[in-house]
Amino acid sequence: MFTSWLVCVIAVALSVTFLIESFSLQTMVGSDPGGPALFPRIVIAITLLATAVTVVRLVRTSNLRLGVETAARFMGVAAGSGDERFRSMRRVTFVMLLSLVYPWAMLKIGFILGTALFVAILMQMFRQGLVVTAAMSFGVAFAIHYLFAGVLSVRVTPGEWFDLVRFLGI
Amino acid sequence: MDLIFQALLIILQPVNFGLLVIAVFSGIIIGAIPGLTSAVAIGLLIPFTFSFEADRAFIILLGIYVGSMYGGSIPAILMNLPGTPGAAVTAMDGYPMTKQGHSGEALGVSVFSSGVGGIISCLFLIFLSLQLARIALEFGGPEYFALCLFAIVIVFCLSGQSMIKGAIAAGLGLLIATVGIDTITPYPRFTFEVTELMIGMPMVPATIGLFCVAEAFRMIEAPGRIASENRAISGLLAVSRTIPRLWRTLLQSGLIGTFIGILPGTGATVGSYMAYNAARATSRRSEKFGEGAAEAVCASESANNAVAGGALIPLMTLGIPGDINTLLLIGAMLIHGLIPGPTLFTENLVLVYVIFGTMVFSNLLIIVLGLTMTKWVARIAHVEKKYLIPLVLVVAITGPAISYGHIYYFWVAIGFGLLGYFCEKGGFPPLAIAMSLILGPILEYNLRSSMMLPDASFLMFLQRPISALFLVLTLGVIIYSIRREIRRWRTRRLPKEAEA
Repeated sequence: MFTSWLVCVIAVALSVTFLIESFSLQTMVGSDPGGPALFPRIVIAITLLATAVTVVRLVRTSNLRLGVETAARFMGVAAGSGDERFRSMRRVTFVMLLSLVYPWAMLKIGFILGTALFVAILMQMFRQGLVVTAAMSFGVAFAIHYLFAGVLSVRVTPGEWFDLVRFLGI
Repeated sequence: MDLIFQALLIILQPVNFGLLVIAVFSGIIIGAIPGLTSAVAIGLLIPFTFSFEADRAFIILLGIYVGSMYGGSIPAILMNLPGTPGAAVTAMDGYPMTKQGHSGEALGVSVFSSGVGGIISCLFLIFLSLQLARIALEFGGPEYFALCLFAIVIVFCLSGQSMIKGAIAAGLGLLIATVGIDTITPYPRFTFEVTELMIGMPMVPATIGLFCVAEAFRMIEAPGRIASENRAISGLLAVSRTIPRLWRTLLQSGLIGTFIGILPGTGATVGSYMAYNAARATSRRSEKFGEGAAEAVCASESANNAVAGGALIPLMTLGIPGDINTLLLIGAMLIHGLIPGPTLFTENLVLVYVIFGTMVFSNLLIIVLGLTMTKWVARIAHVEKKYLIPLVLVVAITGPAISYGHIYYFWVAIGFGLLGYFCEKGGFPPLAIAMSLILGPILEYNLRSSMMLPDASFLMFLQRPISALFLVLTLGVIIYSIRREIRRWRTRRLPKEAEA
């Protein structure tokens, strides 16, 4: 239910934003009927219509009290928040946020350390021992770095604050 | 004949053939691990094929594709856990056969059916695509517009539970595809003065994010060890007595799988179900279906692998992907400077024959490797997801983006990963988004360029026979989907009214 609402909100937000922006697009009426705004506006109309139908269905089937209870359990402030379902939701949300930080970490501390940190946090989330965590995190980081830089000769972004590759002289 | 020999020489080069064997075997293992699909494997591997020649890249990618279509049947039969969505139907009879002590026979039937079904679709791939490519060369703007519209409509109508949600997903994909420089009037469109958005949505990070990153997020929901039953596999070669009496089912299911594969957005799961139902309807022992019938395993696996060859037909002849895997293969083609569609047959005919040959050899290798390596593959499939998740996430986020060297591409992969995850959860088919991302620009370009022709009007699309045919088919699919949606809505309402 929450994800349906979320996608509908994204669809409406994107459609409205693009619709407003479409009025600033220039059209060469004679040679290009409709211009660059025609196709997006047709798509926006269909998307908004479909979203309206979905929202009506969601409103008819929504249970606000259940939604609030679910949110409270997800945030860990209500009874039942220890259920596997809510722990799994929190796990996924945490990894999503971690994934958003990962590219930034790569830019700042380099690919190897950034990747090792990312993998280490994931392994700790899965309650693995320190040895397994260290082995997996540096193993994956070095292996993928070698694949990219060594085998494929791709330029791997160095870190702005610190770069292990430069430090080790690899 | 020269081209066939050239292609065979390329495939049979020791390095290339060795890579093909490794790719098919790896594909079988990947398909056998529940949670890892061929789409994830292909998506993760595409960036690594950047530096290979096109021939070698496609030998590897197609080997993985074909191998993984079979590999999913191994845990489906042994543990009632389909390794790939297409193997879900195989589990319905394969697992009961294992419980009755006939795991070897089930696996053997699965191996032969996959290989033979795949070869049937390869024959269609070779003969149909050469003919279709000639016809497609006559296509103009209106035909391509109608064809792309048909492909997008069929995907959003049939690939999800709800046509309305499919339309929203397709709408999202089409809107996102308009970001960047307009192809007709080369001005920035919907870039909101962000420099990175001028290049639009890069297709490879977007599609890999939609399917691979999103899949990694789904794996996190349940990262535990898969419980397995310790059953010895024996009697693999007992299939030599079973297979000869299943030739009709093999042929029927291979044909069904091939034609389902040709339809965009349907895929192996639909093919397997349709073949299973057809086999049950025509079987003399239909009461055995669901209780461990070798014929049922044969039907689902033959169709499952036949879908792979079928899905390549619209990809190679028209540039329209038949399923998620071929959608990702478009990315591989673009990376290697190839344009999917009829021009492949005029400018890269040797590669076309290499693709044909690779598909045939891959299906033959399934039979050889399946009969000899299944016991080891079954053991490897027990790997815990907790070790796979970090690897899949890191490669999926960095792989498609690292060669561009700009953080924008990482955000695209992650952003589409989030979108793919939430859409899948909410019942909005990610395949519709991906299809629209790829076909949207072609759809719009052909619409506008057709309208720029002298004396152009919307009637023009109906006056040209091929374009009119696709538009009529599109309308048919929409009407069928609306009726299905109304029927479902009424069915859901009836119990509530009965309660009242």
